[in-house]
Amino acid sequence: MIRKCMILNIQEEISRLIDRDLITVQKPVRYIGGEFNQITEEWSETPFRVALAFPDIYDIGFPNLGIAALYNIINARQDALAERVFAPWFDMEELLRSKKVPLFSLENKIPIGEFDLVGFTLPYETLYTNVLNMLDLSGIPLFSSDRGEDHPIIIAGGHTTYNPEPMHAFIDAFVIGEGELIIQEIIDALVSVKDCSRIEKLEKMALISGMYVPASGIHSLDNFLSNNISITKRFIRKIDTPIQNYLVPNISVVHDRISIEIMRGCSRGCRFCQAGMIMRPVRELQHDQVIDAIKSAVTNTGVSQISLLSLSTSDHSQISEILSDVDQLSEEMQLDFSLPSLRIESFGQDLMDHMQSKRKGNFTIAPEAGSETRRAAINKPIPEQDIIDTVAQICGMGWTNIKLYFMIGFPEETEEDISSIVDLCKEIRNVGNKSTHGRFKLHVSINTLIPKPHTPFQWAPLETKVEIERKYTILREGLRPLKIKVDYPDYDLIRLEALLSRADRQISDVIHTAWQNGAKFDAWHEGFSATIWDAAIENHNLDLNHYLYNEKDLNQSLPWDFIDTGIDKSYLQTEFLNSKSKKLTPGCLQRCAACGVNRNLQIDCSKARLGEG
Amino acid sequence: MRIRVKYQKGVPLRFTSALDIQQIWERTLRRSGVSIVYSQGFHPQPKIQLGLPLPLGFISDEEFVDIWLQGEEDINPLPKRIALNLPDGLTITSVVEIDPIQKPLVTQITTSEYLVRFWDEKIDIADLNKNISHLLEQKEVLRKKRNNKEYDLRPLIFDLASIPEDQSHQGYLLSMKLSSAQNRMGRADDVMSALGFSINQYLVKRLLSY
Repeated sequence: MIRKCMILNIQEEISRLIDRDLITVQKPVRYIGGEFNQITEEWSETPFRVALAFPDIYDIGFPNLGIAALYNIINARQDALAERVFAPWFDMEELLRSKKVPLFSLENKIPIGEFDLVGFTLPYETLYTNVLNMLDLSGIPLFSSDRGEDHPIIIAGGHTTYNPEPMHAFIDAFVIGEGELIIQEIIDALVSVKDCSRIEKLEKMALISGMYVPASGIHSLDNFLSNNISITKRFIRKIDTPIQNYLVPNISVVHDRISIEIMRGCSRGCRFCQAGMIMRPVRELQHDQVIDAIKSAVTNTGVSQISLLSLSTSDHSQISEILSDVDQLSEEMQLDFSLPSLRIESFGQDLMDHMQSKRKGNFTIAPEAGSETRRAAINKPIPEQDIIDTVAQICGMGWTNIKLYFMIGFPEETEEDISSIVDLCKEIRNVGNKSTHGRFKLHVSINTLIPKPHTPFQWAPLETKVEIERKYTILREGLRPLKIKVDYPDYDLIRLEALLSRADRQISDVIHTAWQNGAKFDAWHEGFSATIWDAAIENHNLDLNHYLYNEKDLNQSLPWDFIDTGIDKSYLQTEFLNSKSKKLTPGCLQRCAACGVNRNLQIDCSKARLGEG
Repeated sequence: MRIRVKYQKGVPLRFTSALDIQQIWERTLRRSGVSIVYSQGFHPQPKIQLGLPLPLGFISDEEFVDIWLQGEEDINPLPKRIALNLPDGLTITSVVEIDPIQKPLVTQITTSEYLVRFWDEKIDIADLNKNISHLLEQKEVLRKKRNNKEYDLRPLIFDLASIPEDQSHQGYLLSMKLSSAQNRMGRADDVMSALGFSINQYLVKRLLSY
């Protein structure tokens, strides 16, 4: 009874804050929801309540497809509801703290600490400190071991949890892999032990395949390592017709379009690409399903901007049928389509015809490396002539803005590799200038390889700051005369992302110390502070050579080895060696490279691709 | 065909700006299956014209939006059809057809009336009335626009008075009549700040404009 009164009291304070004080922060809409298609279930009549938490601001998290899917799946259940919560921006955090009001959900405006389950979506590592901050703003103990019977169970999923250890101290249980099915099992399990103790709940969750439960030592890492036990990722054999009930934002967000996932996974096998490895096998949404999904999304949301999402859209086996329907729909319904992730290797005439009718915005090409040798090493073999021809063709159609993505810091990279980036840019600039009568605008983005877990480069070192800056200098000097826009990311931020993605459980304490000293919004210029992280790293005597700068031995055990993506470690080893010898491995569509996914996940990849899995 | 929709903007959308409201109307009509006229070119814009801009944080009893439709629609069932597809915070009052070449509504409006409610009921009415009289006695009341340019608010205030909330309540409301003419927009929150209130102390509702 006392607790109930307290909650009512807090609710009053929350609505007071919304009424009176929210006007004083930037974009108050971020914190109040109310979008068309929002689902607000009756709080008191729903037995099991889930908070879907995204540890970045609303504007970034709103379009997240994972959250949208889980939101629909959970709210479709009779016995459960899902509400959303995002990281409050600096001004809102200050307001919450000054008024002593806890972080609350968008739908019913309920303090996050009142939910049964809080699920964090963690697509990138630089969100980790925000998780701590959101827990703290909710009055939930940061460390799993400090939580009691009255606290929610904290789970996390998303690409970063393929190496769960860095966050093991803060997250009670990790979801490894795709969430659509396992979320039902988690809720079933927790509903069945609703009145049991916290430890019983955690034990129950540990029985679900694909869950890693480090809390209270339920899953012991030592035991896993000594007995060679692993956790196999969950995946769905067939991707569903996407979400029908997309929310429609009341303010403009970063990616203000309906995203329809037309294919999951990628058949290419670029050696640096984590998504390409962990999302195997490829699964396509069939042509008619894609078109139905577009039509129903437009009818249900009124949004006319549609994005067809995948890792490599032009590799969809029915892309020409899809495009011809898309072109017709654009005209009939006044829709604006965007196709990110096109690859010029699979750019056919159909695609060119489609591009002809498009609004001429930015056209992106990702050669990744400047020289053909280096492109062979990373298994992205695009002939230079193809890149140049594509630029000429695209510019001939009226495009004037081309964006190029490059990566540096690959193993064994030479100065020639770096100057070949300059040469390629020059060549493209010349061709572009000629085809656009001088109206050509080139934008180059230079990234640094972060050797990610579960990729063939997982054994490779991160390149040092000195080396990267030396290469930046070569690029700056070479590219300056071209008078083009070039982005060079902050090395310290890259180092942080590399550390957070490659570390073991020791880093939990470093994350905690950094947060204590003010680290948050590490993905933002407004938030990231190299000084805070340097101090935390030093404070815990972390050996960066061990985590980042030494090439790892092919046989040494890695902190994420107990997570099984379906890909054999031997395949990754072979691919790492192939990279050194610049040997190409054909994509899955040409020839099976025997990565092990079909055997380990018991699936026929070619059937799975066509939705017959 | 050009229609003029009269609507109310409520608390759930009080933090959504005019530009975003325009997009909400576009999407609402698309959901309702009503086809809007679009401009030509590679980046077609819907032909939608909002009435007077409503400052962020305000609610309103009477807002207008003009929308150009493709083809002829039966006007009678329109309000109901659109209402089903509105987000929380917008309520349709009426839909009428108007002359497609009529001038924009904003050019025909000179005055708006507002009602201000204080979040805190315990307002000292004697103090408030003193402040109001003092403000009205001024020859010039300088306030700053968003772009930091100073302007004189005083001539834009046509009327300003406190009124008792109702018989049973102790509280008071503020009623204002301000200029809404183009380039001579009297802002209710500037009046409030001139009276010494900060933005988190009250809620402004626009009642009507003419």
